[in-house]
Amino acid sequence: MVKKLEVNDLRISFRTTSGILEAVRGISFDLEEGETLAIVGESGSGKSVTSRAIMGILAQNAIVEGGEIFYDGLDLLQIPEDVFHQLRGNNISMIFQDPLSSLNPIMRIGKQITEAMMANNKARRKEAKKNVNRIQKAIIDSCLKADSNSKIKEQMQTYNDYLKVGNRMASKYYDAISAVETIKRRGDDALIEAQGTSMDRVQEEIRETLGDFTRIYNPLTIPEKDTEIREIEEVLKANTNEKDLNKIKVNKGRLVDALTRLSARLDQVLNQKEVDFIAMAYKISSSSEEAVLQDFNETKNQQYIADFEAGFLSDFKQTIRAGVEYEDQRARNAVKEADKALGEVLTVLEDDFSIEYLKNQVEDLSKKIEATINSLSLHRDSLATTFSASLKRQIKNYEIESKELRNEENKQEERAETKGSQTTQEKLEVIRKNIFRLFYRLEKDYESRMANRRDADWHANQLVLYLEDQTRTHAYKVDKALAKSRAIAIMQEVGIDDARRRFTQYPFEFSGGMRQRIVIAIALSSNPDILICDEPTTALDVTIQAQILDLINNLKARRNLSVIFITHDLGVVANIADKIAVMYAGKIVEIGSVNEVFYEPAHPYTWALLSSMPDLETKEKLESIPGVPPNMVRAPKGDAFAERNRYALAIDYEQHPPFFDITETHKAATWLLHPKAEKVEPPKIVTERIKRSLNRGGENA
Amino acid sequence: MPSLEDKRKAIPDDVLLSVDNLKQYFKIKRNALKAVDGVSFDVKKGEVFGIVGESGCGKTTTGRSIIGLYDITGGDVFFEDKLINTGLPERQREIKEASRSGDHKKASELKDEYKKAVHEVNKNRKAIVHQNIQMIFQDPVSSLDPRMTIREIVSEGLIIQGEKNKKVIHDKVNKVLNQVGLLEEHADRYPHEFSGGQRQRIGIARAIIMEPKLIIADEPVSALDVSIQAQVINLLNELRESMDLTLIFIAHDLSVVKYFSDRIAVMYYGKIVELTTSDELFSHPCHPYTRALLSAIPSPDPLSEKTRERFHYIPAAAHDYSVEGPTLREVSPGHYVSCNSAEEERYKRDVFGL
Repeated sequence: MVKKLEVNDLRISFRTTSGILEAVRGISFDLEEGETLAIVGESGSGKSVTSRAIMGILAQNAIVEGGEIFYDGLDLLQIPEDVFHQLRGNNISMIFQDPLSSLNPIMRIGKQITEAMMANNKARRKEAKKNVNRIQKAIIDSCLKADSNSKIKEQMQTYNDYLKVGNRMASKYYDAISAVETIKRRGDDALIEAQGTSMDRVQEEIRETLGDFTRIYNPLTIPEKDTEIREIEEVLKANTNEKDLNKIKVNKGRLVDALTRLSARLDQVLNQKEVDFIAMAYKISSSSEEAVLQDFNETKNQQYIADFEAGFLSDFKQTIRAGVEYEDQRARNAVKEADKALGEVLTVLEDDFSIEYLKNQVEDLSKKIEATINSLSLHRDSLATTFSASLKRQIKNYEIESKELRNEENKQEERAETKGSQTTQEKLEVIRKNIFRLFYRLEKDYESRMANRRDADWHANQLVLYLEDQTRTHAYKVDKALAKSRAIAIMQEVGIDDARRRFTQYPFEFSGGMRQRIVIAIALSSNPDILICDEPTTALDVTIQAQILDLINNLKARRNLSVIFITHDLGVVANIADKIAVMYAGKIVEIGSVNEVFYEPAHPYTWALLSSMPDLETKEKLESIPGVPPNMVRAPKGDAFAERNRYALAIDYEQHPPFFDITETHKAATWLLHPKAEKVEPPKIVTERIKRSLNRGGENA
Repeated sequence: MPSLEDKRKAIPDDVLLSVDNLKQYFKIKRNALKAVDGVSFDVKKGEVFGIVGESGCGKTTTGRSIIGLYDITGGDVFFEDKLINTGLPERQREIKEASRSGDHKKASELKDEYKKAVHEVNKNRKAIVHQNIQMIFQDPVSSLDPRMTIREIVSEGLIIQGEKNKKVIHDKVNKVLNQVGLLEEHADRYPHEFSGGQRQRIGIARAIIMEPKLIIADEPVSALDVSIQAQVINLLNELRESMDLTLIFIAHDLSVVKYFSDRIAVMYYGKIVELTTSDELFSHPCHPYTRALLSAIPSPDPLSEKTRERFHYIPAAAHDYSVEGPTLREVSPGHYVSCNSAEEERYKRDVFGL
């Protein structure tokens, strides 16, 4: 699995009038590709604050006390706003709780979905072109290095030509489709008028309908020679020029007939399948454009796609594959070398920690690590790129603190102990630990990377898809028609029926569930890797909630999204989460896979959450959690949950429990798991429910 | 149509609230939105009556119509045997129709009854409704005035009802605050100083200080965290026993209502589609909409949840009402389902094995 996001020891506080409120107190988790992580907790547990930190939208009075959030080689807490601006929405998207307040009430839905596409287009076009060029150059380089006789240069040139021709045709096609939509809407209005008793406004409506008529002609939508449409046009034209209203009334039958036929014909055009323009461009390269476009239909489309695959694409991929394999081999060697170097530095440091030695090694290390970064990878390497920067920062911190320490010693003063803060000695210790952690993490990262390599075919395929996607969606100008067609495709993807009509409606015309679908569509419109859902179903009914959950599940599978799902309701996440983190008072108290948390809960707080949850089978009274979450301005000493915990031990009031590992993936922070603690059983309501579920699960399996 | 007196006589003794053919239409542009369209049910003394349905089905409107927050379009609402709300527009329409068809005798009879009904409702509103029926609202944040202290909020009803003795008010407020699990010292604070669950407790305290016989709880827990939901549900259960309350509990989540209700009515687009005891509803759900609702409830069980099939209720596909329309029929004792005779047969056969 590829790690998408890594949060380490994140700490966030808020400046409030009553003091510093510790909202998040050191949480760590990983998010892997295609995985759903559910963060569950009561309101005020810090779950939303965490998600906002990942999005970089913390409130003004927030202080990030420490920690790291790694995404794509970048520490999101350190990067400047203009870099974050590129990521936000494009790579990490968010869905908020209340769909009504996250949509603009006075803007049509369509505008709201296409707005980001249009606005970002200009800036992103440059970026995308640069990226495409970089990747193409890298591909050519590595292919030539792998095999100096490679045909890659010519092939890449041909492929670019196909892309160019394909995109030009696509742009024309979408323009025609957009005109068809307009005509269809106006034509339907005219039809309603014509069917009515008074025909006063018919002429006006028809004139409007005819306004854009010439724009609908395109070989792929309605050929100019299409006799049926020509005939309808004649009928309509004849009626607009008629001055005598009575004559039109006599013509009523013919008019209604023509408009009905027009509507049906246009519907047919709008419902036709997507055309693969690049495959078509390939066909055009060998025969004339007219011949290809003539009598184009769905079977021909499939035919062209197959031809393209056989005639060009498979060869092209084969060539790229050689390059990928070469690159892969090189990267593997580099990783091994860097790993070895890391190991050496570590052994020296473990024996005798010397900052001077580390400083001397930094340059050498970073060179080796840089070599491991595969030039063909589409994303930056998450850890390696930031490793040396982080290391340098830690070294600098260490030096500052050591100087401080020396100063204190020189002055021979009693150490001024400020209330609650760490002493310099302790600070140094922390920094040293951080440095070691950096090393261990990079080592682990390398290990997992060596174990989870994808094969070259997958990579080659991914590269071609990337080139196509980038050129189609970003590298060329997105005009209104194109944006609209893409928006409608997304609306259909999130399950909005009759998307073409709904495109022009306002938010108030949608029900709550539909509005949430729109919000999801907007979040998906720029094709993010990570989707953060902050209580997306809390404001919805149970029936609608089930639908939205299904939708998120489907989208996740289809787009290989990584999802962070935030909720207060454990029941909601059983269906969609892969991993669950239970949060209380700014700390994760239990984290594990979905089955582990539901069937072997270990923390008393998880027990309490489970036992307070209503379900259909439990008959006995629900057990509520007594009291309220603590006020984090004055965070309690020891375990924050102790006050409300029936199973609290004496030590809970003294010291916060560390994480105890239960299995490799499952851990919980409670003293009950300490080897010396007495064994405690979860409440009856929970154990019985689990027993019942497992029995049923056994039957199903 | 039976007269007012006939209806009154038909109400059994153990019934506290009787709703008869309640209609509530709202005018939207030129069309009428039928929010509640012909709903009838009885609430017995001491029971908890649940109303469940998705948003927009008219469950809240039903609650608000009962307490008289709306002037209803049609139907009658009786508390014990006193008329507390009646649909004047429909009565007017009947009078008009009668006089237009030339039946002057009937018209004048209807006119008399209209006057009687208006008189009785006006009299009973203050004397009965304000004393005996209270409401708990959904959103604990917006239902409390932010500029009033808790003592002012809770005691407001008493003062409006004419209580002047400060000592009595003070003691009563302290008593109800204790009852809902708050402390006396909380009384002089403001709503923003409380958490969501505590605010909902204040809402409950405000309702029970009048010592009502009937409380209408309109989604009292849907705005709360799951852990707090259980607290509030348990509190309402305790109060119901200690104060001998009758409750109408409105919710969109069947699993919440289950812990609480003796009988449950499932509503869909302004109509009751199924009405029966709580156990019966969960063991023998008949109407496809009820089954769709049941299938949507999430459960804390990943193994079965991942394979679980959800039903979608699509009226056009689920019923064939082209020949015979649905009415509320008793498919087994005390179990009413909206269906036509073909469906009734089918439910009896499939669900009850008769």
